[in-house]
Amino acid sequence: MHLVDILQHLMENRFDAASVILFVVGLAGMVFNRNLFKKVVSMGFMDSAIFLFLTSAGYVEGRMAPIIADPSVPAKMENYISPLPAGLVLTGIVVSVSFTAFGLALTQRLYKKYHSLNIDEIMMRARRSED
Amino acid sequence: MTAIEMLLLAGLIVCAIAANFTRKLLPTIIIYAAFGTMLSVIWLLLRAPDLAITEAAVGVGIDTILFLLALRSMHHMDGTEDEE
Amino acid sequence: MKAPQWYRRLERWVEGDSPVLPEPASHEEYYQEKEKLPEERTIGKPLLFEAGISTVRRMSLVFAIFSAVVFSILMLITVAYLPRFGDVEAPPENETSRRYIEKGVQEVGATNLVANIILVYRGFDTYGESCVLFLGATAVIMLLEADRKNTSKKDEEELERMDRIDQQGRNQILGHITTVLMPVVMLYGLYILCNGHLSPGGGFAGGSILGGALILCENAFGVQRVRSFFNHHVYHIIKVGALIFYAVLICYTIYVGSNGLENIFPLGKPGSILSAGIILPINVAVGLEVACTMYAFYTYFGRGEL
Repeated sequence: MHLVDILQHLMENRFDAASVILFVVGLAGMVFNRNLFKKVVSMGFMDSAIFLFLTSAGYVEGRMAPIIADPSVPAKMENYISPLPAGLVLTGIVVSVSFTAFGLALTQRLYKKYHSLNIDEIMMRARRSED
Repeated sequence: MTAIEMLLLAGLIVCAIAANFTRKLLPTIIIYAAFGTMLSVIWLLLRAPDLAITEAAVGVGIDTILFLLALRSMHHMDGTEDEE
Repeated sequence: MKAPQWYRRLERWVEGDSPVLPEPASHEEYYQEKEKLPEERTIGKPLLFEAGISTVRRMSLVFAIFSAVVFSILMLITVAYLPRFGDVEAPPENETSRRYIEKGVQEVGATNLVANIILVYRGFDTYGESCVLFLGATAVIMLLEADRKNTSKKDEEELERMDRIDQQGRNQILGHITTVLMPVVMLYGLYILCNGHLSPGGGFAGGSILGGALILCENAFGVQRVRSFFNHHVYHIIKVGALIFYAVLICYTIYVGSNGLENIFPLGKPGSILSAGIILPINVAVGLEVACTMYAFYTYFGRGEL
């Protein structure tokens, strides 16, 4: 494939491309940030990137949302978008909230014990209190 | 339509990058809420209204409240008397 | 044999140190170094040149951006080989989706096909996901419950100050607006909850809106008013009851379906509110569970007790 082909394809697959970039930004934020709070936020971005990727995989141009409200449109596959990715992502969103709450609770406990959000300082104080 | 999609996707990426470069933590939370709002609009464009409603209620509402409460209990918010 | 330098640096990074800090000369120096704050660490062999902490920070940032750009270029090239967006021939358009779309309404009865999938076809999966929510709430309660070890004097004073403000009734604007807004929010949440099989929404969205309404109520009218009808007894009863109800319904459906027995829940006429068999009760159970969990998250993060 030539570069022009790749760029054209990326313009068409814009949701996939954006979700990949979001995933990388979230991963970099999670690995290189020294602030625990921002690590939790970056994890949320990574979650959303995966959801965007899954949802855009099921989209087909010109079809309706998977709700059969109009009886004049028959329940054929040619008329409705596949509901499977939306079902998977719906559960994922709620699990990601559970994760956020759990991560924030851990962060809050760490802050109460070590009075810092910086992971370097927390590690240092934890090592000191071990000795 | 494509222009709106591109604008929203660019907004998502800008939000994700900007959240890493704020000095205080309150702007990070506000950027996160903006990110969730744009994502719910994108899900309307992708014809997934279930996801749009859930994201608007959970991702924007509850997540932001949790972050703000955690921040308050860590005394990092502007306006509280002790800023460490 | 001595490990190579990059491996030792990786080891230190896994242990929680910054990846680009200079390498110490000896073991003793390494342990002295560990005792210091990151800003104070100076001794040790310089990484590339004599670097202060600001240079190290900047190099870390440059390294982060560089690796992110390289990784995203690699993944973008992969995306260029994926099927095209909006393609009719894409892999998700297979016989599974065809079955869900074309037979879903006759087999399960809900006109919202997503509700069909998450509550009946893949109901066991969603049941596990509700258990994840339950576990998440339990873990948050375990971590944040206000006990002797967990609360300092400052926290108690802060809580008392907030309670005093509550009782003095200073938040009148919020109170009046909430009086007007509360029935609308509750009605919207209940509508989304009970119409989950006909229109977008369902248990998760409606439950979050109900939980948000409870949170608004506590903020506007004070803790005591909410505790008078929602204390931890009610919380435990609703949460555990909803989960057990859900489990019983799902087990019944799986048993009936695998043995070819007749389901006692009628499918009804598609499009009416009392239709679609077990979807409406399950949606209500999930909604109550989610509402309780969201309110529990809020109250444990804010006050440390329910």
